Amino acid sequence: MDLHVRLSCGGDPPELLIGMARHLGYSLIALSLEKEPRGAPLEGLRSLSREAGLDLAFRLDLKPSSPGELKAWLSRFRRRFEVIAVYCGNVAVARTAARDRRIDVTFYDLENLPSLLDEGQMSLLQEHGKHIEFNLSDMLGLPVDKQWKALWSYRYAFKEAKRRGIPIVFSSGASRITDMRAPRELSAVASMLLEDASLARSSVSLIPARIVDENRGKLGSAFVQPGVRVVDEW
Amino acid sequence: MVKRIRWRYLVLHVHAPLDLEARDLERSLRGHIRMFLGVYGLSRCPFKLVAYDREGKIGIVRCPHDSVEALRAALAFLSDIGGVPSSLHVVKSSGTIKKARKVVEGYVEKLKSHWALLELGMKKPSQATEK
Repeated sequence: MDLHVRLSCGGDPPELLIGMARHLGYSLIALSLEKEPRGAPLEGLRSLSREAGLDLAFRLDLKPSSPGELKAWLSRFRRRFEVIAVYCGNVAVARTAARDRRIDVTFYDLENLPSLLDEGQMSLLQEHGKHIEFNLSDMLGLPVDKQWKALWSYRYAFKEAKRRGIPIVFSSGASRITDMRAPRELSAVASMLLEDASLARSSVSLIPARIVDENRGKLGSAFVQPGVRVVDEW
Repeated sequence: MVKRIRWRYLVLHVHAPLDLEARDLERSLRGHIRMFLGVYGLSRCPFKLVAYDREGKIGIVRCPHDSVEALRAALAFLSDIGGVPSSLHVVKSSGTIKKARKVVEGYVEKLKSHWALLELGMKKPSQATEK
């Protein structure tokens, strides 16, 4: 599955993205929004993808500039989306995102990757079971000298994450259909960076699927709190 | 005794709004892979475009079996061909060219029609209706 397909103003329309995902062989994708949509186009997209034979999840990408802003957005949006991801552009946001249990996935500013994904951040991610996400589309537009530096930083960070058992997710992060990649291609990139073929496959399929499944369970009416759910009412 | 090379045949589908010839595609691929893996990497991953259907935008690439993952990873980083946003999708990996050709025959119509719809969506409405 692809946990990160972006809906954006400059990108392709969602119908095309869904069609391409099906063409590439995905069974589930998470469409990401950067803000809450007006009206109710989400249900229309869900039925469209159901017709195409694709399971669709909705994800919200938050890009806060401060921890206060992040917390305000989380209390407002958490119950409305299946996946909540936070773009960590500075250390304060990264630390808060790693601690807050309402957040599922964290992804990072490529320029400051080594300083953001440092020992302290890794410890927090490990302690709170948060995911690190790699978006392939962030790499595609980069000039070669920035691309190799970013790959080097990711490789180093993933080595540490793997040692600590921090789950890693590989996504396309695409907003155009030409930026989308087939699951096996993403897995090959993951395998190159993680140097572990089975972990690479999990980071493209099992780990993202688990995030969506768990959150769907939490958003259901039977959920009370982690480990407690309503089985039957009398 | 010299060990025989075990080849793999990758069936590729080119996602590009371009009318590419086989030699242009091979040149672009070689340039990209040399940039991504380097000369040493390319020497360990000597690929060849065996066949290419210009109309269906489907090709067959041959490479040693132990460099399939490296080639797939390199292809995932391909974002344009001749400056036009494009991508490649490995439809199938096969151990024989006969099977790869059979896959191409089986998939070509399906992929062609599916991609034509997507390609139409990529264009602006004014371009889509132009003849």
